[in-house]
Amino acid sequence: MKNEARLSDVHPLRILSGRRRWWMLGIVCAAIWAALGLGTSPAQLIPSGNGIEILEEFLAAGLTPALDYESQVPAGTAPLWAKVLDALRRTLIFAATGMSLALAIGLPLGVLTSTAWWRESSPASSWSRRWIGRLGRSGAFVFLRALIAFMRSIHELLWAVLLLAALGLNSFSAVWAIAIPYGGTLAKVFSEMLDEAPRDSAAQLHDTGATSLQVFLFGLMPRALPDMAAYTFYRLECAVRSSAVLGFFGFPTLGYFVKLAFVNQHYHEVWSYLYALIFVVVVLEFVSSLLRERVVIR
Amino acid sequence: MNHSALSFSLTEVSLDFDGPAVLEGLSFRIEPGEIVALVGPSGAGKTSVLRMLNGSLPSAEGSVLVQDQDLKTLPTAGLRELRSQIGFVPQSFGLIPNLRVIQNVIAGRIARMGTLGALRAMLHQRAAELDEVHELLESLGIEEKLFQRVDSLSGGEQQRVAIARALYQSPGALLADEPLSALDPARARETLLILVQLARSQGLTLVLSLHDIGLAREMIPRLIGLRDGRIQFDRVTSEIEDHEIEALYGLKPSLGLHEE
Repeated sequence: MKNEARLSDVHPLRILSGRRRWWMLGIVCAAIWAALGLGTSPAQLIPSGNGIEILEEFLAAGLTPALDYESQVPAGTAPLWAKVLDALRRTLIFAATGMSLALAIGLPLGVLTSTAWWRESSPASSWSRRWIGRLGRSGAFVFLRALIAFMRSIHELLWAVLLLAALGLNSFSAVWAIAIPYGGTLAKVFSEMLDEAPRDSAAQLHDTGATSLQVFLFGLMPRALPDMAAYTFYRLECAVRSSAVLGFFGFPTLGYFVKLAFVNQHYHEVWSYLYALIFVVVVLEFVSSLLRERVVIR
Repeated sequence: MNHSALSFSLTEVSLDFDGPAVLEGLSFRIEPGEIVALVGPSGAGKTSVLRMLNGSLPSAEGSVLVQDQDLKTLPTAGLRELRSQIGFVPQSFGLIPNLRVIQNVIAGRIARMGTLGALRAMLHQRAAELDEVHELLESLGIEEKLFQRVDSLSGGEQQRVAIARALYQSPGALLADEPLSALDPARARETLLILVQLARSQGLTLVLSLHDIGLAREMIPRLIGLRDGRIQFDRVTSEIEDHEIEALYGLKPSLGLHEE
């Protein structure tokens, strides 16, 4: 009786038994330890001073976004709606340019950092060349992987700070602040999609005598392309948000005007800009779901 | 445009996937333009033999010769060139499901184009190419599917697209692994007839594995019976007797029910 394991003990997916129990306990302990180390108390959740009034005022303003300036403006100033549209236009321009650049960087890097690419390329015939080729290939592979890890591990806001210092407050620094980390992320996700794509059609193409490049381009790429397109659209959505937030650093996108209005306590104006942003994100979401339906489902 | 018919010959070929032997001491020769079916129970090694004939599965021992060229000593470029002359219809079709039928058929010939030419052909087919593919699909009875996505087709239709792709390659030999498995009896008969007639009229070598022994005996002039990786018989179909077929598929040959 003692030697017979019960099924409930060896069941691989029982969370609360066996080793898993200790993992779960460890995770809970880590959370408690971190919370204690933070030194917070639930009391801090309740706004102090006039914080509650500010919060109330801000949220209430959401019901009535400003249609016109909340304070006196000099004669000849463009109307508020024109200013919102202009900020929106700039936000989209930065996002679209940054994203185009990110795609131009991310697609080739994604291909070159997929294991599928290096698997498809055929080895040289002679023994020595094969070894040199193998060393060169693994060197390039590791270098490019490290490069995209570096690109994406620094957040776009941090890139913005770095580029602001290096290039100054101009359009280039904003565009590159989006393009570099987004290019790295696209490369990473593209390479995974290429590696996970089904390989039967590639194998079949290989059997017809196609070259490695042809096998990759026409046997493997088409299988991953729908997912890659859908993901790119999702990242465009993210790029619009990032572009808006870059305004907080002084770039003339939505964030800049949100910040100004907030500092001046023009909460209704803040909401006008926020609604513009929400509108664009919703439209993009709609377009990308249409696209996904066309290319992914059929 | 068609390649000249290919010959195949296997000499004492053995194969094991780090386990019990899959194929043991196989030898046979297939002449150019010959029509041969591999028959035998599941797991007999039919697929392995076919994959060896196009060089996608190297033999552990023995030699595989195509057009008297040894696949083992052939350089990569030579092997590619040889493969472009061999059409292969795998059991799982190997189609690209999210592309159109036309693109999948066109893909059969891209080995003979440059990469840019292949890109052009995949994205923008010339009128002559469209006509050729349409004609090919017509002979297989699926011409109205030309512009449909492959994943919207039935299994039987996909199978015929795979056959069309292999034929569009204008091969010197056609290897087909259970090319009738997804077809209903009437379609299976019709498709096999089409394949045999095509092979005859174009003079190409046709090697296929078939599980429908009745159809094989009716239409294929030469049968190679495989069981447990060994050749049980390899003869002109008309000379093969019923008891040999029964022994080939019999569940317990060890009982010796049909042994004389």
